[in-house]
Order: sequence, then structure tokens, then C-alpha cells
Amino acid sequence: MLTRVWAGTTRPRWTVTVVRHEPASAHADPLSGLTEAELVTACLAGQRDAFAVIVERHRRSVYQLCYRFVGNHEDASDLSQEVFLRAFRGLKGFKGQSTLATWLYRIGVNTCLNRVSVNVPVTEPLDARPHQALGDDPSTTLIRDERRARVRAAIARLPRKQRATLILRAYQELSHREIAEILGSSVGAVKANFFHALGNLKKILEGQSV
Amino acid sequence: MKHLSEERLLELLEDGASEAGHLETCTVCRERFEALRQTMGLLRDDPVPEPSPLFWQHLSERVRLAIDGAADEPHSVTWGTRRRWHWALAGATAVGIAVLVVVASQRVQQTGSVAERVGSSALPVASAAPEDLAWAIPVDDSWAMVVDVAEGLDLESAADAGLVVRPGSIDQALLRLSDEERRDLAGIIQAELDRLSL
Repeated sequence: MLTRVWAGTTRPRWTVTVVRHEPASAHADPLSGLTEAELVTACLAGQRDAFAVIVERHRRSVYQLCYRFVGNHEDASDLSQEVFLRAFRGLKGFKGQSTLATWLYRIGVNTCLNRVSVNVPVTEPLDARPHQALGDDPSTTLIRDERRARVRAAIARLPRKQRATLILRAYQELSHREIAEILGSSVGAVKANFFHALGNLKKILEGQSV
Repeated sequence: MKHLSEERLLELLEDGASEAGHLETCTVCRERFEALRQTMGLLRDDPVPEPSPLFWQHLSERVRLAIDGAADEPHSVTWGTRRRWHWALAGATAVGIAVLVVVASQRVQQTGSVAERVGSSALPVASAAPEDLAWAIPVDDSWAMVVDVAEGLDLESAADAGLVVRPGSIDQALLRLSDEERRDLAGIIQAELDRLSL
């Protein structure tokens, strides 16, 4: 039984098993000072705690990338897990020619594009979003949320490479060179893709009377 | 008049390149630039909502479980569904409880009282809600869920998840949860259950 509702004012009496989790950082402390290359080497030598350090360092950026593609927390969480799992499985293929962050972004972009190509991005339901700040006018908040939702939907309609470029540049604020590495393009192609992504986004939004 | 190339417009947008003077005299380029600038403005007005503070540890735990599960696949088949359910649940619960213990200990320190330690051995704590704190028990679904999950987590499952069970001030920790903290904890546990399709 997963839920229990107590009736009236009857105070429940219950038993709780206390579990205190030993934080991952306690295990990871000796590893936390390692460089990326050393962490990868440690992982390949079978030290899974080393991968926990990699996850800890990059989980925020990976999650944010995934969120940009799918627009909701649940899918972004699932995708983030998948990205790290793929990274772990593919760690032998990481040769250190790019940074670990760039490599993870590459896996993230591929994972997300594969996912969103079969699923229409689901925008976060309004009640799942953070509460509005005190003093915010509800109507202003509603208009802003609707505008954001339209922008996200418009981004989802961009061609794949333009969408990825736009997310990496406008949201993740990566350099053109980093994006070129991630997408396997030239810097010139990245700039062109970004420019056209902005133009197309405007056209899509105008089509929606924004 | 020669218009700015796409690349120059982009540079102007991103870096404020030195073509601003051209825009003052060229309506075509100014309009193109304004369109780019407005679109960028729309994009920048949409931050990723910050997840619960509990989420990051939960994500790490999920990744660890997924990796362990993938690596130990032949073994996990023989464990049985219930055992894996408990293991995952132990992880999810432990993350939440760890936060609760920290919250409780911080608050206890602030008020100058010391949470009673029953002992250092790994034993479950069986206790009734203290009379003097009974007023603090919220009666809603999220609270009930946290309690139920905690009840269902036995020592064996906790040990399988590599957890150290420590009796102590959990009564106070749970009772001192804010509504938001309790919802966060319930959300994490529910997400884990949903993920396992229970």
C-alpha cells in the first residue's frame, strides 16, 4: 500500500525505519581531485565511484540540455540518466580528443534528438512549474508562461541541426567552436545554422501570431 | 549601400561588433538586426526551472543504479522483482532521509538541543509519534506516503543498497519537515515507483 489517508483528527501511530544514506561524496572524496583523464582511467580500471564524480560534475549541464529538448522535468530526468548510462558504456571510446563536457554534450544531443524525433515534446504542466514570485501579477505570469511555451514549441519545429545549434548556443552558451565539435560541423556551418535557426524561429512564431 | 553579411549581423548580435554605425544609416540591416535581437530576447526569457535540491543526488543515484543494473544484469534476473524494487526504493528513500537528517541536525544545533542517539548499531527504530510533537503531524497524502515507504523499508533491503541504518532523531526530523520538503520527498519516492511501474 503506497498511500494512507487518516480520517478526521485521529492521530496516527506509526513505525519508521530510519535510514541515513552514506553520501556518494564520502566515497568520492579521494577521487574528487582527479582530472577528467584520471577519472576516465579510473573508471576503465573498474572504479565506478570515479564515474559518480563525473556524473556529479556534469549532471546539471546534461539535465539542462535535456530539458531544453523536451521541455519537462520528467523526460529530462530520464534522458539525463540515459545520457550518463550511454557515456559509461561508451567510455572506452573516449580518447580525450575533446573535453569530457563536449563528449557528454555530443551524447546528450544525439540521445535527445533520437527521443524527440519520435515524441512530441511535452511542455511542463503549469502546476509543475515553480511558484510565481510574491508580487508577480498572475495575468503577467500566465502571459509569460504561454509565451515561453510557444517559443519552446517553435524550437521543436526547427530542423534537427538548427535546433541543436540554437539550444547549444543560446541556452548552453557554448562557443561556436565547441558546438562545431559536438555536432561534427565546421565553425562556419554552426554560425550559418544559428543564424537561420533564429530566422526560422521568428517565422514560426509570427505564424502563430506571437 | 552594401549590406552586412549574415556573419557580420551575427557577430553584432553576439559580440557587439563595430558595425553599429552602419545600422544607423541602413534601414534594411537595422530591421534584420532588430529581428534577430528580439528573437534572442525571447529565448533568454526562459530559464530552466531549478529542480528540487533533492533532485541532483537522486539523479546520481538513478545513474548508479542503472549502471549497476546493466553491469549485474545476469544476477539481477535471479534476484526477483521484489528485491530490486526494495533496492531501488531504498536508494530513493535514503536520499530523502539523508536530507531530513541534515535538516533536523542543523535545526537541532540551532536551538541548542541534542538529538538523542539510541546507539551506533544498525537497527530499525520503532517509535510512536511523541505526544509533545503530535501537533506537528500534517495529515495529507504526501506525509502518509513518506511514512509508508519508511515502514516498508526493511534492514535487508537497506543493506543491499549499501545503506547504513542509524536510529536516532528521525522522529524529530520527519516532524520538522516543511510542507515543501515533505512534498519533495514524496515526489522523489513517487517518481521512483512510477519509473519501476509499480
